[in-house]
Amino acid sequence: MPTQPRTSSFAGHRLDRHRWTLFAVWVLALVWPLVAPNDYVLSLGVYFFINLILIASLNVIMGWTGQVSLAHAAFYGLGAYVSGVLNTRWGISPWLGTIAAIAAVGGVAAFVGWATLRLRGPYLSMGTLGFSGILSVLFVELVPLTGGPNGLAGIEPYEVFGYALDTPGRFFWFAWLVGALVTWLLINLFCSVPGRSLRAIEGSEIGANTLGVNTFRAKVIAFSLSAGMAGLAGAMYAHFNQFASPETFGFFASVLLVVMVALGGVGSLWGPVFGALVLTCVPELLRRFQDSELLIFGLCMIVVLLYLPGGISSLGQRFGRARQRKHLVKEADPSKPLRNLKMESPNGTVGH
Amino acid sequence: MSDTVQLLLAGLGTGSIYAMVALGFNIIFKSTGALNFAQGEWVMLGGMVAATLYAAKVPLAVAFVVAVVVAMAVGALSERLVVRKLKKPTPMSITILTIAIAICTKSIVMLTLGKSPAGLPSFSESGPISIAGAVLETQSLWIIGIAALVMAGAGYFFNRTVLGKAMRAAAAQPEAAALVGISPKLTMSLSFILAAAVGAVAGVIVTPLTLTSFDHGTILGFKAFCAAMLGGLGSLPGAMLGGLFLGLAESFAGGMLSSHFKDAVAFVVLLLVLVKWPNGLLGRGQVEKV
Amino acid sequence: MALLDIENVRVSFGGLHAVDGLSLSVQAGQIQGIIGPNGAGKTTLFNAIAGIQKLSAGTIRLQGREIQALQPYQRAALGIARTFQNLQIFPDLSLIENVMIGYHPRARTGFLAALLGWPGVRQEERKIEEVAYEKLRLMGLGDRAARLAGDLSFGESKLLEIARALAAEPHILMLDEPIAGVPASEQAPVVSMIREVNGTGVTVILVEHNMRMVMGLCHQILVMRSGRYLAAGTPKEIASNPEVISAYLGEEAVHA
Repeated sequence: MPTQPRTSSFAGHRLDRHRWTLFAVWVLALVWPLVAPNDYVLSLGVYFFINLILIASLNVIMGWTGQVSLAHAAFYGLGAYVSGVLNTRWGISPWLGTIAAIAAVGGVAAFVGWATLRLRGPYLSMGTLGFSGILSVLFVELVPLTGGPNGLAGIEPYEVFGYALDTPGRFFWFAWLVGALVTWLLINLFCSVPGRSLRAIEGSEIGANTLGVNTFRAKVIAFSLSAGMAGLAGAMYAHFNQFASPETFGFFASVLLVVMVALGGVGSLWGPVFGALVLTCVPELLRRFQDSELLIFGLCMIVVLLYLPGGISSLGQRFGRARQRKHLVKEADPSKPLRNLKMESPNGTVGH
Repeated sequence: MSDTVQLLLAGLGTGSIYAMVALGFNIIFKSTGALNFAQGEWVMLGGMVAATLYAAKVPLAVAFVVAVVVAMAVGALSERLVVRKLKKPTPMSITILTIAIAICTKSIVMLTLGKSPAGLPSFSESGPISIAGAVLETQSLWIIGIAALVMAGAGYFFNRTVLGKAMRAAAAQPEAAALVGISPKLTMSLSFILAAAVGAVAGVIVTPLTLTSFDHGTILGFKAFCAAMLGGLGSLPGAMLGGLFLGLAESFAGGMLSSHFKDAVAFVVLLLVLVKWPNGLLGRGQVEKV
Repeated sequence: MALLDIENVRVSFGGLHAVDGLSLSVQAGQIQGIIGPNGAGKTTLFNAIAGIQKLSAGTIRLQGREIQALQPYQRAALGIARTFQNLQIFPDLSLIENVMIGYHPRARTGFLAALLGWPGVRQEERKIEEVAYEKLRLMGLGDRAARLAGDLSFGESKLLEIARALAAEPHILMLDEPIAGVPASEQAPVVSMIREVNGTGVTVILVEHNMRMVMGLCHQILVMRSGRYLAAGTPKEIASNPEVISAYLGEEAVHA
């Protein structure tokens, strides 16, 4: 028997495939600054990456632990305000502010998660609902800090070696880079033991617990990580837009994020890319329909949810799965009956 | 003293509305496990349709009834044409679908009935009356009264009538219920129709006080979620308790603390309750049989 | 010392004692069956050993160490694996991913290492996948490793759960009605697989209604009735025990 190691193994194969996809998509995205006719369109590219990070963060919680968070726009806002306020009120550098934002939002979420994730049930949805409402009120009412309903203005942009990232053209590279980094980390997580444990919780929490996963701790960590990512997106938004206002971060925005995750495909690695595309581009495309835009959007949403339950990314998945099946069947030894009860692995050794 | 009574009565009024909307919300939660994001829009629908009809010189009582019927039709359609078509009707997928339904309902109302706020006259002619030194709009009494009637009716329906009990059975154990002849499709349709009806009634009776417009429903739905969760998701008396509790808490916080943070009360209360009683005040834990 | 010592265990729901004053010693390397008429409390006892059900009284000791206060995931780390009567598979993950999660108690990759993509992670991934694939092939599911678990039939899903439980190479394998729902033609391979696994030193505890399987497979059998101990012993002893016969078949059968 040839002792061929399974380098083209399923798991490794999948990790590589995802990394190549990342490479391809991001290289493709480099085209954007070249084709964008003006700064406004270019800035859409920036928002695409920011939205991607935000939607991906919610996808971690929804798809990987099966809970719906109704506070992700609020976490986004909290990140924006933490970094923005530190910058405008205390002159703290945007870089430090961003790190503070990630830590602060992640920390607060750990607390909310700890309080609401102890039991099975829709408690996270409930807790995040309440939390979102509280934050909305705070954003508006803490006027000396946040600027109140008029928003927080004068937030400084990032600076790299004295070079300010204050135009869409310059910020685009930064957003592109951070987007790639975050997606890289998520791919690593997805194809690994901790990532799989999280996704198992979505399938069956009891099942995961029985298999050795400390589900409570995993959920809290996932929620905290997820919120931290949203906080990162928020800080980026604040330093790009140089302005933040409470309306952007309300309950409806959180609901919209849930929709985007669903449209992309809950739990799918590449779903957020589609979700971000929809969130960023569709308002622009529908703008000409004026009042009907919301209705058209709602109808399209229904169509996708009914006929593509796995979201837009499931189209790609069906294709990928067909290829995987061919690959794996090839690996099985055709000369032996498939239901072989002897403990023999493909390369001829018994056991390990 | 009269201040307290004032706050109490105002709180009961708002609370009654929250209770009714929470009731509708809970009916759907019980039968599907999903969070019905369209509930608030059905409330708005009731108010807007009634107001539009009234403006077209339709008598108030007729407008009321037609509005509720329209809402029931919308609820039925939502279930029939949309929710039922789901291949894998999990609570999460139904929840997200109700978001889409809410968006469509809201925009259809906006496109057909316009964007401007609309109103209804008070149900009784007389002006504000005085109770124990507090001044109260008569409509508030109508609200409390009608809400109490609806809650009592719901209680009677679900506890005493065969159909109501069948719905509860189907919600608790769909397969077993099907085996004894209770059609799950029928009970599902009914729960949507009932939830929409209750929501519409709430919408009509609150409009004389607050006016209504196409975007009025969302924040109300939001608050009603809080009320339902406070009382215990899926518990029908819990909806009532949660709604009243929330209305009173808001009223007193607004009156005694500050009107700015009044809105936050709902959420703070919700979080506090969740920490201590994750199932809400009256809810029971969800037991998973293995 | 027995591998698993269950002493005077009681599980009460309100006033109802689903399991009452039950004691059992499971020796290492045995196949222990638990049988009894419906409502006897078998599954409750099973769940209590696995950690999903809290005890109202009594102790459970694993190699002398008390475990009744431990959560299921902690018991998994101690080498107890189980399957579910009503299935708790992960329907949105592929078969191979389902089984790979079974390896979790033995896995060493930490959260941070996984996130950052340290070199060792990939190696362990490959190893886990090989183990998982091997277990799948053992249960006859190897050809469908990439399929989504949600697409499987009930019988196939049960086999998947067993493969998954085996991935952790547990000391104690607990099977909750392993062949209920499995088509008759496929039951024999499962039985011989259980025997084989037991042959490698794994202690098996199983709840099952299929008498022939239990009698033919188990070294020791515990019979329960109404939450209480009725009888325990080898299959031969149980089969000729008049109380057991009467519990299952009624008084007349004893004198038949």
